[in-house]
Amino acid sequence: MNRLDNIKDHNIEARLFFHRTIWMLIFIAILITIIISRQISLQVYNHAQFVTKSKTNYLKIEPDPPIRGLIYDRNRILLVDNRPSFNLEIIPERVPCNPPKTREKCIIELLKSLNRYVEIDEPDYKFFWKTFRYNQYRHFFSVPIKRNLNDQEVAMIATRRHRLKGVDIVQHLNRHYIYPNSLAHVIGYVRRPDIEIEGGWTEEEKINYDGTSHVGGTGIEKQYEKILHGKVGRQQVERNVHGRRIDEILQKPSVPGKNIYLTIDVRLQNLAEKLLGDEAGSVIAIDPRNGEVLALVSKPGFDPNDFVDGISIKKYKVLRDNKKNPLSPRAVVGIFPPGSTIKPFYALASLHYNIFSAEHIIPCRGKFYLPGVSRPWRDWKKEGHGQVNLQVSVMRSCDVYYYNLAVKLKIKRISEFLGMFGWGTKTGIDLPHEASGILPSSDYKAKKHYGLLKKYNKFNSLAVKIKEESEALKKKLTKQFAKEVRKYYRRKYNNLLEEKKYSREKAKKLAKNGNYRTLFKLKKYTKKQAKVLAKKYTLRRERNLINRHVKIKAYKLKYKKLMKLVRIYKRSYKREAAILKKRPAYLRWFTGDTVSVGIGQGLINVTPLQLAVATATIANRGKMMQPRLMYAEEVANSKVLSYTQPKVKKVLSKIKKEHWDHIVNDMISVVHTKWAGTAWRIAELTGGQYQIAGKTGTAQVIGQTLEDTKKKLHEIPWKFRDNALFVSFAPADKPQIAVAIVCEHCGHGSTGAAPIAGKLIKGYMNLVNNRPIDWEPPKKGKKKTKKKPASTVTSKPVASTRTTSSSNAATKKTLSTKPKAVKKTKPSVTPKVKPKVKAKPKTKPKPKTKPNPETEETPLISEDDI
Amino acid sequence: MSLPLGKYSSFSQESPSLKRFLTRMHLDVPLLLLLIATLSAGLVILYSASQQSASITINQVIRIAVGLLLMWLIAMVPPATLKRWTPKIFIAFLIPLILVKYFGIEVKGAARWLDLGLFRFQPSEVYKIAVPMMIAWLLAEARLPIRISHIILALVIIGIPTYLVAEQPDLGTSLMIAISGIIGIFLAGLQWRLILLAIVIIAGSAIPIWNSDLIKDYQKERIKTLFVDSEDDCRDANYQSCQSAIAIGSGGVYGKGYLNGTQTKHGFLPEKHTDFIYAVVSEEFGLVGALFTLMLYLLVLFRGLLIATAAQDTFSRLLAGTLIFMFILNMCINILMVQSLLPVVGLPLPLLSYGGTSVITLMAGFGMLMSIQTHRKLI
Repeated sequence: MNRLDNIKDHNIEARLFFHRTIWMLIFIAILITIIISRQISLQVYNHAQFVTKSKTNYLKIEPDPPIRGLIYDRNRILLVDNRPSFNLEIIPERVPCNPPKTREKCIIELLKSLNRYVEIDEPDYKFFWKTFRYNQYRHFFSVPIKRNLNDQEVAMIATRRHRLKGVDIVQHLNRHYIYPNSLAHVIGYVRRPDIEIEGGWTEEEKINYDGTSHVGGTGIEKQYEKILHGKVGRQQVERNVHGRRIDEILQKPSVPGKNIYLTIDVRLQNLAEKLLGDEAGSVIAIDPRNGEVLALVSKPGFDPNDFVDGISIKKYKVLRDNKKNPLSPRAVVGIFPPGSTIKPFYALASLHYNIFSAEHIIPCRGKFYLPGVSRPWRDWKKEGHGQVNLQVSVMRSCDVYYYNLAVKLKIKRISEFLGMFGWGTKTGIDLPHEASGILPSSDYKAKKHYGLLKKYNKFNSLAVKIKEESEALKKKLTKQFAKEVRKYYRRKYNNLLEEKKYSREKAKKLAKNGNYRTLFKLKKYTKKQAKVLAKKYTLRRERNLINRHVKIKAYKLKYKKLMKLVRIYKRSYKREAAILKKRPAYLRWFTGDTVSVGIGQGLINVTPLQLAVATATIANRGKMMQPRLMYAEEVANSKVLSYTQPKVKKVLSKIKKEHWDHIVNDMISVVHTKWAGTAWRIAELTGGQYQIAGKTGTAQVIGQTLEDTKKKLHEIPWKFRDNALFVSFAPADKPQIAVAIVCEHCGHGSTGAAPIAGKLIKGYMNLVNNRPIDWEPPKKGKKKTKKKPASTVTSKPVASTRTTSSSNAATKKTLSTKPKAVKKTKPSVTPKVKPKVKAKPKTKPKPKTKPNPETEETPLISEDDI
Repeated sequence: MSLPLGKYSSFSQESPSLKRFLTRMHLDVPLLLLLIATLSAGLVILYSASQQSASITINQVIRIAVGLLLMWLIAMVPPATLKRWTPKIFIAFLIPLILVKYFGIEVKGAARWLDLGLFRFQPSEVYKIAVPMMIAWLLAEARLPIRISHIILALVIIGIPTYLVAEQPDLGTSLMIAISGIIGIFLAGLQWRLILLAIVIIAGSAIPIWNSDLIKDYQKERIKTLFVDSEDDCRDANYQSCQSAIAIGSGGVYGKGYLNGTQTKHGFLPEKHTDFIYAVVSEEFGLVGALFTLMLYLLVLFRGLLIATAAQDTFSRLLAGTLIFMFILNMCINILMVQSLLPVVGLPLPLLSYGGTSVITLMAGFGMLMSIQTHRKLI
């Protein structure tokens, strides 16, 4: 080569260039080979796979959510509708935005200009940003900013759409409840689905909710979710990279939800709601012949439309903090002491078990003493009712009679007998979250105790578990802590190494041990380094840093949370255990308890629905129908209805027919015995067309002294007033409607609840006879018809009372001509009948709704248990 | 010594009168035909790639016309004159290259263009030609094979524009400038032991460079994606190469048909009418179309090599060789990038991609090739 240096030889240069060109060509050839083989690999061997990928790019399979079924009442009146509503939505991607500004900034500007036309609330605003951030990789997803625009707002936006780019008005179908307050607790409401929360859902069910905006939250909407929802469809959509629809190919159409028809008669429902007025309570009307629920009112109601798109916290707080508790569907979940409405059942039990015969007379002097107990159980009427037989006891609602009866019946039989009427078990109505009430039994307290024990054990094991868990966590955390420290030091040593303050070996060693002591020592050794280090990272600061990092983040949060739980559980355990230790007697059932139960107070609670079903069973003379709300559902793809068949739940065939008739007669006398029956005032509402059988009830919610009973209703604080109850059915001979009313804190049953039932039954009878619901019979006729039956029947009562136990024929007569019977018996037993219906709270000694071991009264009873 | 390919170099002179006329206009007929064929194919593809935008296509037609004019003008300049101008051009264009850093128009964080009122001008593109010219000029003076001093000088010549362009930052172009210089040195006959040494040094310094700040994070991400299995999700760093692989792969052997590429028309393919236009070809015309395109490029390469080997002086030879290899390497790198075998660097596909400066520089280069071919003295 050196020799060639001095000569410039063109040939050699050309040859050299040629050789180099060949080398380059070889290199290019290699590249081209790679290119071609890659091309073949992509386009031939992996072709199918990439075709799929490209299809998944632009062909999206999207859910086509079904339209939710509508809900009608039994007369095909629409109760729940799907109404179109307009939402204002923003498609972030289409908001015009130039690079220096971030998308969020642009959107904030857009929202500002939007605010001129539409008011955007704070929660909407928050929700928007939350959704926006959630979809930050999918900016073509439109995000709602305001729901339910009114027409004016829609017009405002629509005319300015060219200026508001990225804003869109989207139409949705929204659930609309036409009768917000009266039907709120029956139909319930739909809410936004939260797949995470829907615990019991299978994968298939979750898939069925793709793209669905609402799911049944409570009531019928929840109960018949599967019928109402329908089946999701699928459609294939061609979309470009911005998510815009290019074309769509419907593949599998959705199946809309079926329309359903409720047994509710909305006219009756609204009437019942109106009759209750502002009071809290519930009204239930059942057709005893087939168990159809005609009206099911829980008051106060609320507006379920608020819940459809999520209720605002403010509105929810108002509902939640209302002392009348509007959110509770009390007709099925509320439990109340039945008070005197329980008496017909006891009367029946008395006949059934042959405790007292119908003619057995018990002197009622206003007080009842248990042997060995000095404190009396009082009657609601201080002076008593005189000589009382079974019929009068029902008619006058004599407490003393039932104190005696309950003691004789004993708790076992009471529990067995009431159990037959479905007390203490769920009625099985098609509504979610039904309560079962409390059926008293001798082992109830023990059971309760057992339940408590179970709870303690649960707490205990939980506490142990949490303790173990937290210790494991602690261990893990310390390990993690060490790891973090080591990591931290390694990073630091790397830094140090870079700063050339340590030799590589030293730094390595330090990094390995992760021991800051070594560092400290090292620091001591070389002054200069120590100074620099001290400046840069003080030891304390290091430790704080690590503490903040590890402790607060994991240890403090997790461990402390767990420990808090442990503490809470332990505390509650201690409290309950202390109660148990103090009063072992608390677990036993005393005769005193039975006495209270004898007038439907104390350890007995029913739901209004149970009361209604039991009343309907009496009306049916023992045939208990399954109560239901589902009247019919549409057969798929047609307007044909498939009706739900009535179901007989059970037949109380053991009880003799004459006993039933006797009790029905007694209940008729409650209404149709002028002056004497506790609910005689509502008799005039019938217009003499039919008879109502009923029973009033007044249940105390708090123990009352003698002075309390003298107070007038408005003088007592609202929440301490008595609950008014009334059960009834009509017409008494061929019952078509059974009504149970619980009016919370309305005072006496005869004034607080009975008129509601009377008016409701009157309304129903009008409806049955194809008259308007508020039709009034001509006034003259009313009086006459009322008097007539009373006068005509005068001869019969004797027969009826005599024959109740013996012959069927006789009972039939009594059935049809009850008012007379009542009238006769009344004067004979209680000679003086005063109209003393007004607000006379009963005066029982221990009418507490729940037995509370800490009050003075219980020990009185417990002293002499049998 | 006569070269085996030499006999082909004169065939243009035996052609009929039109060809003779063109030759007198200093235009090389086969090269011109090949270029026109490739450019027209490019326009057809561009119409589809731009989602049937007429304005983009017409813009490109105008640029091609300007490019062809420039090519013709340069072709008329004899290589000797070119050689004389080389250092002046090289130094003169350093000024706009430095200015662009401060007065350039910033697009996506990179200042690459100078606004000259009438049109935008990208100084870095000039150096794709100026560097090969300068290397050829330098090494034509030297005796070959070259000495160390010349190598160092050559490296400086390469280094200055490479650094300035990399600062803009425009990694693709600066890489191409560096490669063009290196090709020049290689063709001039760099000793193999030096080449080996260079390879060893580069391999050795790869890791420290990786860890230093020289390579930006987003560039690292792109490189990393090559080694990570990018099958499942097209997101973030590998979005572009992933989508272009889908476009190519879904094309199959015969393609989806003109204007029917779903990746293209629905906009999933990024930069579809510029850097990723090859993916459009592959998607719509399949393997057949891709191979046809490659064939066109290889024909251009062979014609260019004929011109280079037939050149009569070292400057012409080196310049022609460097330019034509640059052209083909540019193509290879772009395609490998589109096939997601190389990290994504902003590098257009020569002759097909949309972009004014790129077309004009290329045509200027081809003009030089033609000048070299048509100014030969017959021996």
